[in-house]
Amino acid sequence: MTRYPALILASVLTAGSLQAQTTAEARESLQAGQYEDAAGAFRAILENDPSSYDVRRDLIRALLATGKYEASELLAREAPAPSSFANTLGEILVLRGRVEEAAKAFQESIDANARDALTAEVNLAELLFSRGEIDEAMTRFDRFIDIYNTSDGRLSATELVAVGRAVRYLGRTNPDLFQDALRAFDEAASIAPMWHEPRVRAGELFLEKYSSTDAQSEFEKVLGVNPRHPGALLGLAKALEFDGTSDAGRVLGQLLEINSNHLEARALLANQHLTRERYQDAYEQTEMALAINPNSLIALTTLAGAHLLTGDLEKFQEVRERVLQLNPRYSGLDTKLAELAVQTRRYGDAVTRAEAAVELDPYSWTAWGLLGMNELRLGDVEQGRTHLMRAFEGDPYNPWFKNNLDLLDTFERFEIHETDHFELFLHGTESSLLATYLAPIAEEAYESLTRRYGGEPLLPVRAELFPSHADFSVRTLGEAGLGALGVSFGRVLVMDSPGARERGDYNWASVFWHELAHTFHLAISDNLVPRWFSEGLAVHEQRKARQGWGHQVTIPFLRALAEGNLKKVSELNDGFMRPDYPQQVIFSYYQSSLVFQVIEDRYGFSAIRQMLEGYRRGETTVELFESILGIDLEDFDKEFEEFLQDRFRSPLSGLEEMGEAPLSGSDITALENYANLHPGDFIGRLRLGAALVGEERYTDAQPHLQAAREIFPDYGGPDSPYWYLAQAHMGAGNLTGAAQALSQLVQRSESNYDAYTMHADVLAQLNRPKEAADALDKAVLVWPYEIELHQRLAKLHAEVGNYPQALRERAAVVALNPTDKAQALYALAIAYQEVGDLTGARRAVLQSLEIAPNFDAALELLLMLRSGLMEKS
Amino acid sequence: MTPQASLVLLGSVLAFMGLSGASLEQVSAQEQTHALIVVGLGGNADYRDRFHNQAVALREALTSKHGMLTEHVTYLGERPESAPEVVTDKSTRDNVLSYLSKIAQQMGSSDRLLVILIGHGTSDQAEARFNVTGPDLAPSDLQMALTGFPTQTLALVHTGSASGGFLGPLSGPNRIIITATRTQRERNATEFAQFFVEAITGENADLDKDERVSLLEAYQYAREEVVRFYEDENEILTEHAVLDDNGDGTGSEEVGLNEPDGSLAAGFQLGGISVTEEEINQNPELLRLYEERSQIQARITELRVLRDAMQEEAYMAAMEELLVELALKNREIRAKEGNGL
Repeated sequence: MTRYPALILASVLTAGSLQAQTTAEARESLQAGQYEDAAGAFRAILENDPSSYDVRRDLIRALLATGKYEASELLAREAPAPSSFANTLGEILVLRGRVEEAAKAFQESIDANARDALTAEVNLAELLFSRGEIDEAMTRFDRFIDIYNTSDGRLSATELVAVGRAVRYLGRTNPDLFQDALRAFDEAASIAPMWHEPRVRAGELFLEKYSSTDAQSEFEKVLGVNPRHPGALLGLAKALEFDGTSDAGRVLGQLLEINSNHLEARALLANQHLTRERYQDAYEQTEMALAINPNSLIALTTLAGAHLLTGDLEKFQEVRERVLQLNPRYSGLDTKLAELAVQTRRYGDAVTRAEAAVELDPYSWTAWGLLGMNELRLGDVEQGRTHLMRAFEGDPYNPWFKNNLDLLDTFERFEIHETDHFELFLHGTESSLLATYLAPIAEEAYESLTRRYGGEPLLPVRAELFPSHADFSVRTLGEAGLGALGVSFGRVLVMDSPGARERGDYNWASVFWHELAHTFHLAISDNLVPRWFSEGLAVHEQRKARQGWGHQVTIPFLRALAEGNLKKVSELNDGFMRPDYPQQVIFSYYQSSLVFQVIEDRYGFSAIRQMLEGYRRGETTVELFESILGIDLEDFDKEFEEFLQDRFRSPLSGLEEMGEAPLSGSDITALENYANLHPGDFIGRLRLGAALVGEERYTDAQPHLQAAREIFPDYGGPDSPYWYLAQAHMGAGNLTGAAQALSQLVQRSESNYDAYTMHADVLAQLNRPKEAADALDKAVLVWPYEIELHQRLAKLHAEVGNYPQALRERAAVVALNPTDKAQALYALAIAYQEVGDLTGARRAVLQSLEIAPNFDAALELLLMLRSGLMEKS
Repeated sequence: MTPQASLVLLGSVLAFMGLSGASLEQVSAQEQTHALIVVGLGGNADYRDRFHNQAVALREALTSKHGMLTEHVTYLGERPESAPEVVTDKSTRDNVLSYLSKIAQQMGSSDRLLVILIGHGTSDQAEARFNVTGPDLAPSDLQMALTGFPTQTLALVHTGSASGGFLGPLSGPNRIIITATRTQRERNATEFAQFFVEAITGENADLDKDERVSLLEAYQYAREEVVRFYEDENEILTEHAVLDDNGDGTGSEEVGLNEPDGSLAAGFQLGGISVTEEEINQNPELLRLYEERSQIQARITELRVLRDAMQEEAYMAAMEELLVELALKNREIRAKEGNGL
């Protein structure tokens, strides 16, 4: 018996050490993100020792991480010393939207001077801020400065995080304080390296100040230790969304697997759906978010966004009023909706929402910036500049504001050329040249589109062409890196000037036509047209304008068709807004343009116009297909697929895997053997033909190139059969054949500068100067900067008696500032004389002589012109 | 030989430089122009041929087109044996210095010397170099050699890479230094030579249409064409040509009569031979017409100076009247010269 106490003691000791071991393991599980294991272990320990503060706290953390809010609340309420968990309880209640109870809980913690009372202080201030009691909240945040300054370095990590959070709010009126907030988070992280909140907070702050790279670095540090940390995953998703990558959705998926009740993740997902015009999905996510917290401002904002974007303005106002009841000074809803409006091309709405935001909160620098940037997009440059400057003063970290303001400073170097319906905003160094060509194209496009669409956009349309692609990108997005060539904001369209790209990269006139088509679509649909519809229709308009303009069929497109990697018509918007792979966007342009070819052929253009009007009324694509085309969209999907298969039957069979075609540059014999074995293989025949041309075996090359052309007659790429056929014909001395091949090529490619100039050369050699001039006129629409080209064109036009065109070309030469300017002005004077404009001729010859007073020929011309003018008068 | 003179030149130089009081003798003294063309190492067959062809074209243009005496044009090349009829000697450092010394002895005190270097330069050492067979040619070498031309107008055109390193050391009074690069750090192979040669050999660099090409015009033409070349090729401009003719050792990209650099180069004219001084002296009527034309040209120059101070319309009207006067005077001259229209 005497041995009993010893045994009991031994057993107690064993239980105690086991518990310690289990606690340590549970904590390890918690830190590694194994929340379920951790929760189970902590719960078991807590049952044995309900008084353990740390175990209860960590159990609640594990439960919160997995979204078990009710269980967490219960644990907080059941704590033996409730005030020690009052702050935690308050935080849980905030998550559920029970802010009144939360405020009381925070106050209880503060009154009891609980160990996390300082956190309760900042929680309470944040809560007040979120209710619109901004002045009171700011006063409370302000106290944290003193707390930090008088702490003499004795603050704990949790207290430093509280300080950082408070100071971050103070940054809205003093941006320098953001650095102090960051310092507080850094200090906290160094004191408690295994506690992840400081790093997550620092990451959030970096992201708030537009440094996604730094933010991701902080989040990844956390995820390196705990790959399931909800805060870090959310932060990473936000950063990826900020970067515009498609990975954000994947990260949000991970987060929602860990915590399906994560409200912010649901709201972010809903927001993603909204920007991609998937409204039903957005509603579903929003509902789930509101089920977690019916008073969540961010979830309500998403709901308001869904109503706004689907055109349900009554419900939108209802939700907005509900939000303002919760927080009468909440500018976040209008700011967020201004951003959403931009992402869905509703720039007027963006201005309205941003104006509402700054009215609610004049310190909302983001809203001031959005207001300014969208005023610029609508063409109100001065107002836009004023508001951007105000935004930048309050938020000097914002790169978009800065970039835009820097760009605006360069506007004084641009000139405005007015036409009947346009303001052409062109850089001074190229304005004379570009205006010469752009003005007639712009007016022609306007006239053509007005005739087709039967309505007018707001006038004048302002077209801005930037000789620097980075400037175009800043004008569009506020930052460099945009891949597009042009953008239409409605009344304002902006694009790269031809000089912003390499020669042959694009046809600027065709792009202009495309963007102007958007302007019409946006006007008719009141900016409600979905992206796929407007893009496809704009490409369709390009093709209507000129043969060869707009996207053309390519080999990768056909491969995607063959492999089933194209979107159905009913999903084409995703091809733009949420592509499965990067090239899908390009394929979607071409594919959607064919949809409009089919619609116009089968139903007439009026159907397309009616559909645009239907979008204006808020109708969906499904509804419009049914009501206007009388076809179920899913049935149309099938019909369109059949159309594609039929339309491309020949090239599809020519691109089928028949064998492995030898690579370009392979031995001719290998290519010949392959072509003999697979005469229907497009690539094989094309490569053989090209190789034979390379060896100057022009006659041998022709049958293969002709066969390739028969298989895929629409292919107009740079390595098209037509290109090689032209060379084969030229090599064989058959200029007529070469001219024919080049003519077919340029009907399938809008920007092949070399093909245009070669075509002109061949036509000139064939003594067909008018056609040669036509070919060179098209080359100018690709690259207008070559003096020699304009000189040739002037001569050709003059040769066939097209004196006005010759004059235009001589003016272009002068505009290009040639080294021998006196000569160019003299030639211009002659051209003026030829069109009978003696006054213009005299002006030009005087300009020439001002440079070169001893220019004999010009002096003689001056004398002649004066006598002519005198006779006339 | 009769000194080759151009009264057209006289007129335009006087008019544009404001030297209306200059005498015929002063102008004719400038007509004794010597040229030394030095082609350095090509490094490969392509460059070797290209440089040689440029030098040959230059030599031909200077003599046939611009009227310089054949014996006044010396071409030192990389491989004289391959074209002995045009290449005087091998382009070693010693030969360059030796031929400069010989030319100095032949030249009169108011003659002009044009030195053109075609080839590659380097600057991996402290001093820029022009690559020739054997030891490279350095600015310090030329500094010494050029002391042999104390009174003459001297123009040095270095068309190669790193040529900017030659400008400072060789700058001085009565000297025109043109380099293809702004500094010796611009070390990529240059395109300047082909356009400078084009300016001297072709018709397009006579920007003021006075039927001759000044070094100012040749420089402007070459510089602008280089910029256009890089733009057309969509490449970053890696050479920035400069000119210094005010002796301050700082090259200017933008030059002209109203700029710090350009006035001396404007007066260094090539070509424009239509009438000899002798012929002029035999025809006092023609001389009178030339002088009258010079006066009109001088008035045009004076008017151009006032341009910014005048209303555009008034300026152009006044200019037109002067130009008409000039045109009519030209008709008279042509009739007298027998070239009437």
